[in-house]
Amino acid sequence: MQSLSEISAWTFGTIDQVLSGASASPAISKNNRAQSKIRLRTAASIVLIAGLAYGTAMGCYAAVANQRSWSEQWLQMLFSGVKVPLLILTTLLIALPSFFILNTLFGLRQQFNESLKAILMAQAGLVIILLSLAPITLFIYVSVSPMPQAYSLAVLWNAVAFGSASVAAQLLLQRNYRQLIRQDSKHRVMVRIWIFIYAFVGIQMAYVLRPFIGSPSNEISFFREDPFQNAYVKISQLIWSAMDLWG
Amino acid sequence: MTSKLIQRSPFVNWLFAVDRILRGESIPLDPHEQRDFQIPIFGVSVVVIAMAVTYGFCMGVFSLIHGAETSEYSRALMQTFASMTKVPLLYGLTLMITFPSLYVFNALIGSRLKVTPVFKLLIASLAVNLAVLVSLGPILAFFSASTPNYSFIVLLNVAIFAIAGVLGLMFLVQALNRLANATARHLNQNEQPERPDTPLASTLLASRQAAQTTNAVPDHQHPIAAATLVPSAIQSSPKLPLNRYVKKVFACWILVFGLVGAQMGWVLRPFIGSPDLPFQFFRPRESNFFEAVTNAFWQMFA
Repeated sequence: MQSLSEISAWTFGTIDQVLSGASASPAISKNNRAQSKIRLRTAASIVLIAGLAYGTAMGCYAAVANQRSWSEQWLQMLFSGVKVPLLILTTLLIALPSFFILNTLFGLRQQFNESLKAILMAQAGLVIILLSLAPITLFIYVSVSPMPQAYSLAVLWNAVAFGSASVAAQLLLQRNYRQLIRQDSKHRVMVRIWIFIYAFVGIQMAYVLRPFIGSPSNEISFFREDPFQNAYVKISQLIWSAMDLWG
Repeated sequence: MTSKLIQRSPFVNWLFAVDRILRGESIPLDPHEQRDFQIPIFGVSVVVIAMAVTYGFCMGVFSLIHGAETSEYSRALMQTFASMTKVPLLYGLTLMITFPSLYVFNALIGSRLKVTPVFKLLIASLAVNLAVLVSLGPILAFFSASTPNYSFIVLLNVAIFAIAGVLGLMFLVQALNRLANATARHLNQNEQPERPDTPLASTLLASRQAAQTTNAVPDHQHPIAAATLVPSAIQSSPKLPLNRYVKKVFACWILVFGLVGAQMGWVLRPFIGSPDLPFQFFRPRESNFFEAVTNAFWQMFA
């Protein structure tokens, strides 16, 4: 049985490797196998655990705001906790086949494992960054709860948190890809294509999986009551109506 | 035991054949390489049809979801079945209708490719086209399941077909070039075994020498770096610039195949099935492809 200090040393060592981008570099893994302990499985479990943790924190809004009891709110926390890793991993699964075929066509099949590792590591980085923002999220929930527009502020803060974590994860992805790009500049095109496909699917996935926070005025449910909508159609309709207002 | 099972299944072997096409291993890159153009026509055709049916199912998801919401199950199932048969029909009929003219243009322009290699080439490029199409299938299925907006799905389909078509053509032009060069070299070799006088043969000789010098560098130290020097299935090789016959044949092929393909797609409508119209296997002939795409774009904002 491992002691607590060993476990925490391993955990922080892994987090360090994910955030520094060191683990995804094939050159390091080739010269010094002992250093790259992180496997795809580890990265996937980081996404699961840290995503679950942030989602749970995200979903406790109504209870923190004293608008619902904790005995009811646990269900929303569970839903939100499941939804964050679900969002990240289903988007990955939907976007992966086309990325695989494109890599094969561009002659990058041999390094596909490294590409996948770089991508998963960046996603592990995304949820670690999110989780590091969880205390701020809770702090904001507590401090805005007396205000009338508290729920909107909570949604806004989460949008800021997800947005900044995504930007940081994209920088991490570029860093993870640096070694691959050095070997073959076609990887630069590939990583851009990946970001495009992933964002295209991910935005709609996030829209479908709403509510993430759970408005205190609505019943707790996994999906919204109203039928699914398309995020892009909604956005263009909003822009259209805004232009109508000006015109 | 499972590995034996996998080895015995012919479909898995055909999948591997398609995979070799995608990796660019089926078409000889170096013209001096005495390797056949190895594509099992029947097997690759079966995989192509299977991929087309799969993509047809992804197209049918839209009507399935809509049918489940309005409880019109039979209509939804009929539309899905229609989509699953129409996608293979679209590509199969287009190839059958255009193949004679494609072959004749190729022979007229002066390429020395025979009937079977031309057919293999077209089947291989259809395989690339459909592999890209079917790999984008999950994205289409997801959007179909979560989007009530018919016009958005139509536009997404047009975009997916366009992406797949462009990549298929990128493969076709490179494969045609490699094959044309290999055939030309083979014929030149038979005619003049001693001295390569023709410009094509001499460039090929130079490229062979270049290949030998690159081979002299020990590859095993940098296996990944060495592997990436080989151009992929859709990349042009610096050793083999596109020759003018290939450019002409390719231009003719795009024109014929593209026009017939677009019209075939139009004749075979509806692929997705508008939720406002009753089910019909074919629609009455009207309008044209480009007008419809423009209309769908404007209706998205309506």
